[in-house]
Amino acid sequence: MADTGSKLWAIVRREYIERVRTRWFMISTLFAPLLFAGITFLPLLVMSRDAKSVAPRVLILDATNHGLGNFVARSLAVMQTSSEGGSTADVRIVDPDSLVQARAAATTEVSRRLANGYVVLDSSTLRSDTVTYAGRRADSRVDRVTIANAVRSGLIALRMQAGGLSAAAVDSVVAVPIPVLRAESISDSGRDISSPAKVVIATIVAFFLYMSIILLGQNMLSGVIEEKMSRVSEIVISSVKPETLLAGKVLGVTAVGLTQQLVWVGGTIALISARTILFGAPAVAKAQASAASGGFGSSDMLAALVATPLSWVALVLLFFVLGIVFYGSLYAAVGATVGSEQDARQAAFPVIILLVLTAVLISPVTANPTSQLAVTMSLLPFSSPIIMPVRMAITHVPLIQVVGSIVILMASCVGAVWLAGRIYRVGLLMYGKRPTLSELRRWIFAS
Amino acid sequence: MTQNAIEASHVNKQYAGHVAVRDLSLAVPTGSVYALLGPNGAGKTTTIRMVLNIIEPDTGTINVLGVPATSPGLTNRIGYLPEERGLYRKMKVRDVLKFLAALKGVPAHDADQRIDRWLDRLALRTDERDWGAAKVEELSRGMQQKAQFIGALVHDPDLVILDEPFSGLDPVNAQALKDSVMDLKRRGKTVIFSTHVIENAESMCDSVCIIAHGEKILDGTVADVKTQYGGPPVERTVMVQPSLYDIFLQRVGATGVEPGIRGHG
Repeated sequence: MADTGSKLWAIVRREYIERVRTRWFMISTLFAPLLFAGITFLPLLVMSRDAKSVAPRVLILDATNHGLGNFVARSLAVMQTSSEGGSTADVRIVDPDSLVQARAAATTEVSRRLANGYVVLDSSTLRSDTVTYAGRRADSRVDRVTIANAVRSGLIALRMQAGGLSAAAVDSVVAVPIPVLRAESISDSGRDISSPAKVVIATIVAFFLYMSIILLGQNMLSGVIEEKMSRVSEIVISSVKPETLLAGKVLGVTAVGLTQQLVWVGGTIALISARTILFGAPAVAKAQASAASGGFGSSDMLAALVATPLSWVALVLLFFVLGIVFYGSLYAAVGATVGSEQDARQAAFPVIILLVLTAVLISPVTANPTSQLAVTMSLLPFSSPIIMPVRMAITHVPLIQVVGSIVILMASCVGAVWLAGRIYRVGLLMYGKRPTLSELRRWIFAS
Repeated sequence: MTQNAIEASHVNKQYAGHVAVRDLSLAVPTGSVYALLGPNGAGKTTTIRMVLNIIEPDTGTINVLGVPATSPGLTNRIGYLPEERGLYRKMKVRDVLKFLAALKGVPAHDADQRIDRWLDRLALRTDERDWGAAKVEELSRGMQQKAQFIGALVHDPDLVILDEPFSGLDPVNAQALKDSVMDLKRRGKTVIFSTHVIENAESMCDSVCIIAHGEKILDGTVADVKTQYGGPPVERTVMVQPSLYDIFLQRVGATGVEPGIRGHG
């Protein structure tokens, strides 16, 4: 028994070390966090630039003759006090007849980078019809929303002033800031703190699980074929049982996958920390505040990631490990039946279909994580390693479903390993043509 | 010690549609060099796989080194070189050999010393280069075969089974392997090799078994087989020049050529 244990260990060790040493492992392990970083950093970068863009100097060309410009400037200052502090707008009272010249002058200033942009307030604005904003970053959604909101506040203040409200009262109304919106969705199972960020995180996790399983599966397949075609497997199974070789390979590949996931999880945590350090907590908070008004931003993701419970991470890793065992066994079985890489592509088709089908269903499941489809796919063993973590990331999944899914998947793993062991035992020594289905049946059920 | 390293009795093995081995009985004396001769498809490889417990016979019994072939722990005492060969191409030679040694229960620190000795002996480690540190794919075919040969012997097995060990080797390397086989015999080990190069069998073996179509045709010591099936000896006087093989070995510089061993690889 000890002898079998040490031999199994030798196989696991070889499978692990030889895979981890490869360029393939290095690239896929390092590339994924960079991709993740790109997804989380870029929007924040853009957003933090956005948030600053109207800040330094905005010209307000007030051609209303009613003093709207001062209210708009005040409102703009309030909206940006939380982030920048201090007034940011420069109000110019303009005669309606000379508005064209004033605009031309303002355009020159913006093009010379003396200002970021200008807002034109005229009679149309007073009617709350239109307001013009021209600037270097006029396509920025944050800028446009901020300016429109500031103008609306200014108009309200102006009308309150016309209604006879005291200057202090008007000022206190204008000074009311926009609160941070916290979105909570309601599902069949009741109230549920949810956000688009959770969907994004779930999709990214699903993507990583899918990529990892498919890459390791293919890796297992080519490893088995190499062993079989070079006849190394024949030397190995003259020393250990084929089932031991299979178990060693599956365990080795699982360890490789787990290493990769831990690097990714660790990398993500490091990047989140680095992000706060790089941009500073105020920048992150600011982006979060501005993102809140728009509904979704990378800071929501940060918040959602930070709020992710460790139990969920542990469960995802459990599903991942079981997924690798399940698919690794199937891929090994496929590898044992074929005689070349070309044959393998065809033979692996049914396994790949199962994985692709799962990938296709990620999007519908994230859209409605409590639907019948989502529940079913999170229980079926071929899709549950990916779909259940996705559902758990977005919504509250009843405990009975999580436990049921794990039990079914574990039982399926036992079945897959048994099946693969039977096929492996015979297939490794069979060279030449691929077996027919009836031959396969004989391999599996022969004594 | 048991009289016979291998005792097979009425062994049958059938695959879907055809009989691979039929009622095969054979005895391989301990400490002998034993050749399994036969044309392609005769059942040599199936027989070897059954001895190695890679596959089980349908009926019949096989005892190896005094215990049933299915006994746990037996594999650590057997070395095997399969006919068609290969190693993990991307791995370093030493790492592959250590892995194979570990599969035979050799501890890592012990394995390194054994591998060093073998690499030196088969000229895979010289002053110029240590091929043990090279990847398998960097080795020539002959060198790979020698590395595989080391893999079969690194755990110092009592029984060595070599399937067509000399095929594809140049005379120098073939000779090095033959020397190693004769050395194993001197140390009391049992060596079985299957071949269809009859000259090898005649020059190296004590006993032979000829099989065809899954059945044993004849077996016994080389002398007995010659006496029993070869007819009376014929005396001939022939004047010969040294063979090309001898000249090749002398000129190329093979070491330790066993006296009396002739033939090609």
